[in-house]
Amino acid sequence: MIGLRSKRLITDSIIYIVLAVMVVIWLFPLVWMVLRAFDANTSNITTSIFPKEFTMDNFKNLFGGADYDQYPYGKWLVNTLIVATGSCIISTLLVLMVSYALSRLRFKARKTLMNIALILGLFPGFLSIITLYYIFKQVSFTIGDTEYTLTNNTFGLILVYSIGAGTGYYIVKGFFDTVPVAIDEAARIDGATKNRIFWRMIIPLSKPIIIYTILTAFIGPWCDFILAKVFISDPEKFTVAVGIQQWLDAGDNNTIDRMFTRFCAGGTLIAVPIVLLYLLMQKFYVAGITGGAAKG
Amino acid sequence: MASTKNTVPTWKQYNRPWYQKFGLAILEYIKNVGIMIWCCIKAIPFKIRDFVFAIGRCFQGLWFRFKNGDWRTRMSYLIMGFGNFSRGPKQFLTGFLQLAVEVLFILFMVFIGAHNLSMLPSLGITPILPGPGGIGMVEHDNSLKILIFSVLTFIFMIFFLYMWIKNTQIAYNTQKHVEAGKAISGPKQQINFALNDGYHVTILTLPIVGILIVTVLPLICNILVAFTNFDAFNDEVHLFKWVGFDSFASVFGKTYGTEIWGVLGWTLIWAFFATFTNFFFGMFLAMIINKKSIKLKAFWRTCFVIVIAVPDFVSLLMMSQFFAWKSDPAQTGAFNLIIQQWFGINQNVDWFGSATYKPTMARIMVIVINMWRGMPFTMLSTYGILMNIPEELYESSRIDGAGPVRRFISITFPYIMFVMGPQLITTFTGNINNFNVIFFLTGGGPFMGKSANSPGSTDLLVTWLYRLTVNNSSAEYNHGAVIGIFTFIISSFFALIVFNSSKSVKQEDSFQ
Repeated sequence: MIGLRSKRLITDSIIYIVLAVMVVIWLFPLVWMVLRAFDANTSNITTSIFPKEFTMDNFKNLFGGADYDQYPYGKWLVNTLIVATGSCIISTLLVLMVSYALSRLRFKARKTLMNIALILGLFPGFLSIITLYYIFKQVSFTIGDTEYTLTNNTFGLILVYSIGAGTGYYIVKGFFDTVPVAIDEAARIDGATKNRIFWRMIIPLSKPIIIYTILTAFIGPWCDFILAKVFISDPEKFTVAVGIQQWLDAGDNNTIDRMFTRFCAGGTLIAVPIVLLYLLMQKFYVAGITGGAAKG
Repeated sequence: MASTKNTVPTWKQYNRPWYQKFGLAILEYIKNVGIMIWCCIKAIPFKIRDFVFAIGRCFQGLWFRFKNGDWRTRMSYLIMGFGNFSRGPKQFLTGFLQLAVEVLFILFMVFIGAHNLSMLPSLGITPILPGPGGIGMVEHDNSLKILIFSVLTFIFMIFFLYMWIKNTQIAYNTQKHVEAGKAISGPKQQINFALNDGYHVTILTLPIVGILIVTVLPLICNILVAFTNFDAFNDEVHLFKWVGFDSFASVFGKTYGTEIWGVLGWTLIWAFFATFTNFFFGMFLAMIINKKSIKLKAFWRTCFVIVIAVPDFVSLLMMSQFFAWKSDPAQTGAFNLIIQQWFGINQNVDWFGSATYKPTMARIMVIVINMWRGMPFTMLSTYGILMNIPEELYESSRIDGAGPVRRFISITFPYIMFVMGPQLITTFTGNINNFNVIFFLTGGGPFMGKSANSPGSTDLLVTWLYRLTVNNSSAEYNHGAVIGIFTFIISSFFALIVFNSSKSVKQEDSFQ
């Protein structure tokens, strides 16, 4: 007869083994990618799983080298940073504004707007991405001698990522709903306008969810591929995603042969900040994804 | 928890074995989904009736205000804002703002709107031609531009109509105000109004304009493009025209035969497996990490979170090369080397079947790799829910003698389903449109090689749409638009279910 304690011991050891095996399976490809980033053999097809000869060349080539003009990774990194930061600021503001209006203000069209936003939000944006591209292409203006269009333009890309952000109000509104209305009423009695209540009271009280919004709004464009791919055709203005994807474009085996380890190096560099952000914000992230739904 | 007040669900009623209860619980869930869809359909006629009534009331109000208004109010029907700025300098701001809307609208119509609207039926008649002496181009029509600006004009017209009706209301209210002998509000009160009672207008205008531009406008244009013959040949150089349902006929038969049904079938199979494998295994993972006696919880969780944190375009593209294949078994992709060198299995497998055309293999691979990518997401959100389950429930069930399986069936699973249920359908819709996994792993392949634009074996509707419209010089925008509409309908079918079942929308006030 096995005792209760030893039975638990057996279950626990099985669980530990399962977890350990799963962690190895989950992390192995990533470890492999990081190691390959230091490999002197640049091809995706090799005779050994791990590198035989280590080098820093892949990283050096990202920021300078014979073909830097063709593949300016440094510029792509700066572009990605600008696009992610710019659209993060705009979309966070828009989301906060919509959330406040729908959570705190009572007006006639409120329910209708929420229903429309819910439906629109459930449709994937890029079904009509080509049309969006042509719409943005119509907007052009001339400063001096150069003609600017909103396509193939970093500023245009920021706009595309951010100005439609209002539909994603759901989680922040859920949080605003939990802030007691009594606070608003007290401030109203003291003569504060609704505008003032929003900026001076609700926003400072909602720090965790605002951090969550800022981080997701930043990570979205940082990790996005398709919008940048459609909107940008000039290699100087690529984001990292578009830039390094072309290194692995399956149509051309020679490119993969030369560029695979450089892709690993570039991919590692672009992933590290996001991994750090995720680890730091894990708490907010869990609060965010369960926060909106848990009240159901 | 769920609505157990009046009727006990069948799966809880009898003392059945756990697997029967489990099956019945799922049946119950599907039945509820069916009821939700039926309720949605039932509500449509009433919505239409309400809409018609609203328009009727609108006209009634217009006539009522005209009948009872003085000459200033009646003039506002022609010159917007007249009822305000004719009543003294205090009302100049409101009055002239309304006048500005009218003037801008008329200018827009005269210079852009009317021209494009008149071209809408033909979509342009002047083709591109070389200018005098073969140098440069003469002024020509651009079908797509006409289409986009026509839609924009319609949106502006609706906006103007709304502002016009609003203008008559404001004029009439001001008149009543004056007749009652009250002081007219000045600019200060109006700004105060914008920051208080009218704050929703102040704060929502910008976001709504943004949503109109990037979501609604392209959506309408996209739908219209489906009724034209816009493709790589009929692009900016050549004009395209209306062709009715020809593009639909071509996608659903003429050009692609039954291929779209194959793609739809695979899309739904993919969405089903991608959603439920992630859901169940992610839940399982969260539960074993959350088990009381397991140590280092944060460590285990963090290991999996790292996988989520790596951007899709890095992790999935890397995976596509991790499973690379070359016919020479000694010199091949990393995973083939692993099974050869570490596990001694003498195999060299073309995992994505792209060279040897193995569609089933490729399909299984994308589902498996999707688990690698997606399970941590479910794990993380389920983990949060598990921590919220009241411990007393488990305590009392333990006292009643419930085993771990029984506790899972009666407490954990219903609780998770209650919170995650609506999300599950959202995830399903998301997976129907999961571009990243398919595009980065297989690019839609393996291909049979019928024609450049035919769908591949792992192509979802969206990745096929992408290849039809973005990737090559033989783009078929009209067919892409048809597939877009088709996907839209499929998605909306599931979206409606979520829409009706999200209780937090209906009961939001109870939290404040």
